[in-house]
Parts: sequence; C-alpha cells; structure tokens
Amino acid sequence: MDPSIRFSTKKHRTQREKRKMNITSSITNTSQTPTTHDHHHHHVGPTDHDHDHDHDDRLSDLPEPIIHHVMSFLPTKSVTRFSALSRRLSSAWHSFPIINFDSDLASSFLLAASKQTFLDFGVASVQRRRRRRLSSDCDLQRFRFRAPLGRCGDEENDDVGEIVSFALEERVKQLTLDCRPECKHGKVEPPVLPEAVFSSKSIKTMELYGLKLRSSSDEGLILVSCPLMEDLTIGECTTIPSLTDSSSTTVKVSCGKLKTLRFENCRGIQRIQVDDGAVRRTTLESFSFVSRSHDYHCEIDLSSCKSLKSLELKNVHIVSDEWFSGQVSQLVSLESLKLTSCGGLKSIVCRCNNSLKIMDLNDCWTLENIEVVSLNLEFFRYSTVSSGIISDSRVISNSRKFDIRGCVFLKNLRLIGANVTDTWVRDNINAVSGFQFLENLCLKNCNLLEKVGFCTDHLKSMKLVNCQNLLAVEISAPNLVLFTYRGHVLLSPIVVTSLILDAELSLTNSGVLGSEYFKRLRNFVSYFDHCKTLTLDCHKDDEALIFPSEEREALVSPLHDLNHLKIKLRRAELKRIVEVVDSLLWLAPRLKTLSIITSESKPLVIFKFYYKPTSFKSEEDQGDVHARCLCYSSLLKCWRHFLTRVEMDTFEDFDKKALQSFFMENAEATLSTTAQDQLP
Amino acid sequence: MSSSSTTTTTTRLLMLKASDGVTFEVEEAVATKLGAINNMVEEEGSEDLICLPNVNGKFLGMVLEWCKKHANNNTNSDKGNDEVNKWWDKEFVMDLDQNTLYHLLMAADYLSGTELVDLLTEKVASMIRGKKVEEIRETFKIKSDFLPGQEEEIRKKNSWAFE
Repeated sequence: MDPSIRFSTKKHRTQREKRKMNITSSITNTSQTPTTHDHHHHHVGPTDHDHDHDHDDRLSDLPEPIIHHVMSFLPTKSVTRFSALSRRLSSAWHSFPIINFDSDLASSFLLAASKQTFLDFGVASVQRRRRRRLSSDCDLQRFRFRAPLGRCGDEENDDVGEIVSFALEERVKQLTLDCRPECKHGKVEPPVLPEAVFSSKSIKTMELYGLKLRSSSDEGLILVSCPLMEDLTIGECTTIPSLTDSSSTTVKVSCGKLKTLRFENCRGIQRIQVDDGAVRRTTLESFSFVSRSHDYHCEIDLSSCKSLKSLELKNVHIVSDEWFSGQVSQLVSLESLKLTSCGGLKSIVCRCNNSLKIMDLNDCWTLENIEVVSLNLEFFRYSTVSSGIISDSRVISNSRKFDIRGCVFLKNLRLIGANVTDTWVRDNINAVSGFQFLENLCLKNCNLLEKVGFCTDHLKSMKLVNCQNLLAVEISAPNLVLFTYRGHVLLSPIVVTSLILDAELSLTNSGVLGSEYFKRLRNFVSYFDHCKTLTLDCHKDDEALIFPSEEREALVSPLHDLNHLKIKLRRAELKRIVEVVDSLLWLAPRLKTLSIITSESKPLVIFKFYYKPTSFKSEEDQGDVHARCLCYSSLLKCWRHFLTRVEMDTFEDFDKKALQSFFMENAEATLSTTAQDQLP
Repeated sequence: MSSSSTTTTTTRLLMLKASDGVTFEVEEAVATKLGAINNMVEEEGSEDLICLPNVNGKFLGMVLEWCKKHANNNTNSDKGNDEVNKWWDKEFVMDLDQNTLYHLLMAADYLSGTELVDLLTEKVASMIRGKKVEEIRETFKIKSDFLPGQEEEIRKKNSWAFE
C-alpha cells in the first residue's frame, strides 16, 4: 500500500496530541493516566482484568483509523464483509476512506450477475459514503476504479461521470480511473472523462487509462489546472476532435505543484504545453511521452520547465533541431535524457546541460551529429538497429559524428551500431585524455572498427559484440574484471592485459569443423591463458570441442595456466563425454574445475580436479604414463602426471563407468560422483 | 521519519521508562525510529529520561527490539539487508497471539512507529483475507450485536460479497 496514506482522522490526531502531552508531562508525574478512545476504554499494556478477558474481541478494540489501516490491505470483497460483522465494524466500514473498484471485483460480479450489478454497487457505495459524509469529516484518500466500461458505450451513459463527481465531492486525493477494454478487438468507444477532474482542488495523484478526453473550448484546448496535483499519468486515452476541427488538440498542464507528468500511448494529442509562461519556473521534474504508434507527431513545449530532471520520449517525431536546441538544451537541471525511436532529429548539441548524468539515444535513425559536453555525464548509450534489419523508409546516414570528449567523467559507454573508428576509440578511451574514469564499455555492431586498442586504468567490464570487421584487439586495463567477446574467431592476437580477468568468448561464426577450425580455435583461446575463468561457447555441439589427435600432436596445449573452464553447448547433449573431457584436458591441462553447461546456463556436469602438490610422479609412474601422453619431450607436463582424484557433479545421465576407467587408465585417478563422498 | 540526523548522534543513550517502571536504555538512533520519541527529542532535546505511562514494559521491549533491528540495518542499507529485514519481520509477527498483537499495535501506534504499524496491521489483514464472515467472527471472537433481521438486510445489499 502507499505509505503516504495514513489513517488518522482529526479526532484521532487530537487524541494523539493529548497522549503526547501525557508523555511529556509524565516526566515528573509517574502516575498512570488512562486514555480514552471513541468506543472503548483501554490502555496499552496488560492490566489485571486482561487475563479475564482473553476472549475479548481485539479487532473491535482497535481505534477506527487502525481498523481502516487493516482494511486498506484487503480486497474490496473482504472489506465489504466488515459491514456484516458487528455494529462497530460496520461503522468502520461506512467511514473507510478508500474506495477500490478493481477488475477482480468486477469479474466476481460478472460471474454472479450482470455488469449493471457492479455499477449498482458503485452507486450504492457512493450513496453510502454520501450519507456518512454528514456525520464525518474525513476526505476520501484514495479512489480506484477499474472496469472496462467502454463495452456498453453504444448508448449514452454517464457511469464514469457519476463515479467521478462523487470522488470529487469527497475531495479525493488519489484518483485512478482505468476503463481500458478487456479485449482489444472490436470497436470499443472509451467513456468520456468529465472535465471537472482537470480542475480538482483536492487531487494529488491521478492516473487515467482508457478514457476519452474532451476539450473545454472550440480551439481544442484541454486545460489541466489542479493546484495540488503532483503526479499525473494519462495512458491510452484518446481525444474528441473539436467541432470546428481546424485546430489541433492541445493539452495544457498548469498545475503549480506538478512533479511528474506521463503520457503513455495516447492518441489525438497534437500539442503539449506545460504551464502557460506566467509562472517563471514550473516544479515539473519528470516528463515522459511514450507512443506506441511509430513517428507520432506531437509538439511538446517544455520551455518553462527549468526544474526538469528527467525527460523521456519514445516514438515521437521531433520537429526540428531547433526544437532540441531551443528546448532540451535549455533545461539546465536535466539529469536524464532518453530518446527512443524519435525521428526528425538530425543534430543533438548539449553544451550547457552540465547536470546531465544519463544520455540514452536509441534508434533515433535520423541523427547525424552528436555533440555533448557535460562534466557530470556518467552514462552514454547510442544504439541503432544494425543496417541489415533497416526497412527502406529509414535511410541511415553514414556521416555520424560523435563528439562526447568533453564528458571526462563518463563511467558507462555503450555504442551499438555506431560509426566510430579505431582512431575515435583510441582518442576517447585512454588514460591520459578522454574518458579516464570509464568503467564499463560496450561496443556492439560497430562495423568500422578494425583494430581496437587502448590503455585505461578504471575499466572493469568490456564487451565487444559482433563487430564484423574486427581484426585485432589490444587492451591494457589492469582493473578489468570481465571481458566479453562475441563474434568470429580472430586470426590476429587479442591481448587483454589484466590479472583479475574473467573472459567470456562466444564464437558465433567459427566455420566448419576441420583442421583449420581447430587450429584457429586453439590459437584464439590461447590468448586467455592468464584468465581466472574462461567461458567458451562455440555455438556448436560437443564434437566441436574434440580436437583430433593429429592436431594435438602438432600443437602445444594453449591454456596451461587456466584454472577454471566453462563450456557452453548449443544442445544439452553429451554423447561423447570421455572424448570431450580428454580433449578439454589437453586444451587446459591444469584445470581445477571444468563445467559444461547449456547455452541457457543450465549445468550438465561439473568436474573438480585434485592434483599432487609436488612436481613429478615417481619414475616408474612416469614410465607408465609416457606411453599414453604426448608430453614426454616437453617441459610442461600434462595432467596425467599429477592428477590424483576427480569429483563430478552430474545433472544428466552419463556413462560414468567409461569416465572412471578413463581417469584410472590415464592417471590412476579416482572418480567420485558426489562431492560429499570423498571430502577429507 | 523526519530528518533528525543533524541533531542525533549514534552514541547518545536514552532512558525509556514503561508504565510498570521497567526502564530501557537504548541508543537514540534506535528510539527515534518511533515518531513520538523523535518529536520529543527534537523538541525537548536535553531530556534523557522519557516516561511512557501508556506502554507496558513487555510490549515496549518488543517494540524496541523491532526498532533496533531496523535501525541497525538501515545504516548500511542495500538489497540484501532489505531481504534480511523482510525475513526478520516475518518471523517477528509469525506467532503473535491476538492479545500481544493488539497491545503491540496500540503501542506502535501510540509511539508513532509507522513502519511497525504497517507490519502489524498487515498481519491482522492476513488473518482476515479470504475468510467468510463466520470465519472472521470466529477468529477474532466477534459478537454480532445487530438487531434481529438487520444482518440479513446488510448481507442482501451486497450479496456478492457474502457468497
């Protein structure tokens, strides 16, 4: 429940004051002062007669505001049952300041009888409250009405009108009206919202969904002027075109205390103006306009919103670059700017928004030029759908310019489908100039990149995803914890200098299985020998991991230092587990753990390997091993010389016997299936 | 809770004296989780002994136990602690008998322990949710004091709620 709603009537409050005075005065006077409540005499703490009254009805003993508080956690059905419990609780029900007509309630009506009964219930509740109003002076805190009233909209009915006028008379503080239809198909006329709502003197928070908004004048103006309003959401509402029709519908919001204003998937609104200019500075802190229909034309005037901190637009057609420079660039308090699929905008220039922390530009396909200077910018994302998926109506300009160098404290940078070059990366990401404090970097579908190379001190996480023309990577980042690579197998070295690194390699386009494939894979993974954990996903089945013996003989094990290896398989099948384990232990001969998981990260099998602490097995052992392994001439000895024991956790059925004899034959090591069996 | 952090120091101790004379020594940061105490500390400042003649020692102790848990966990608040708090709260209200629940709720309300009132009222609500009128009456030992025929009339008005 909303913590802002407290259940204390004035009566209760004065009692509290009184009790408080008791507290303070009792510093000198320790005598007990019993206090009186409306209905019962009681006293906090057990007294002598408490034991006799173990059968007392403790619920009815509670003061009414607390009973209301209890009721606020309950669905309307349970709340209504209070009316038949006792006179005391029925009275509490009558004065309950929250009316909640939810869809659950409506459906229980629809099951039992007709929709009309539900409305009757609404009207009856309204009348009940009206009668009580004469004797109580508490305002309606919250009124929530959720019913698909649009369905019976063929004849004129004013159910919404009646319910709303009641809520307004009761000086409601939180109003929710949700009349969205239950099923989307079929032509459903939404009910008309009474205009009086928009001039309410009591409402603080309002959510309107699935209603028709009528303009109050011929010019198509909808004026919202609620002096106490702080949060307003208008969702899935439509407008009634004005009779003269020549002018467009304008929503003008002029509420002195407004903090948050949201429009979601509305239709028919062509212009939004926040405040009329008479007030120098509106209190609005957050504005969002989200449209479902593509390239929605709506003129938004935020010029007096000097306190605006957050601005979000989605699927809005932005009239011109002048709109941006005249409106958004002038919002000096702006901290977060999010534009998604907004067409029309060619140039973003932000030079005086020094409070800007977050800038998120997604699929604004007409953007050509971005220039941002903000010392506080921490997050910058630019994304665009990759050129392959673009429909012909969206012609992507190639001359995009990214100038965000002035944002020296940038921590998160994500460029998706951006036309940045090797030089751009080198100039912007380095320890001397550019983003010295960068912690997270993601470069995805940046197809101009060929050689990515930089040095930076603070980088913690780096992602390189599907940059198609990438040839080489050389990164020096001593604090890098996670390096993620997704794409084809690079032929030239990929150098990531960091001693605390976990690497995730996802090789999407590694070619057909064959000698060339295994050579490339071996070379590619060898650059990650120094990682703590290496996760390898070849997007293939287990056979792609079985290095043929002729390759093994010709090549050196690439991952001699690696301790933890995770293998992702495309399918949850491990038909040739012995061969896979054999091959992976050639790949990384000193593994401590080997996990084989599916691409959904579901574990299939986990091995733990235990080795002899000292360098060599005894001479006669070695003689035995020689015959089986390839390392007799090498200084680096393979796992067969050291392995003593293997533990295995399986999540699927495997041929355990074959594995057991494999480890026994190769290293005289024992295999146990559960970790519990063999713990020292 | 209002921002009293400027005047409060974590080390200051307050003495709270319950109706039965039992006293509790608690850190100010703990006691000010209660709105009433917080107001008094802000208004009167220097007084270290606070008498609470309407709260019995047993229940004051329980309220303060709750405050302590939440004051401690608030200092280094993160999501993990949130979970811990929730779990702890659940345990706290799990086996309360109605008498204790009632007295705790009255004490929490009297001391303006807003979050604790939320927790306890929600507990009461959970004892009502989904129950029929008869079941609610049985749970709380509520005696129907309607005039003959009156209850039937009420039920008829909103028959949908009484199925």
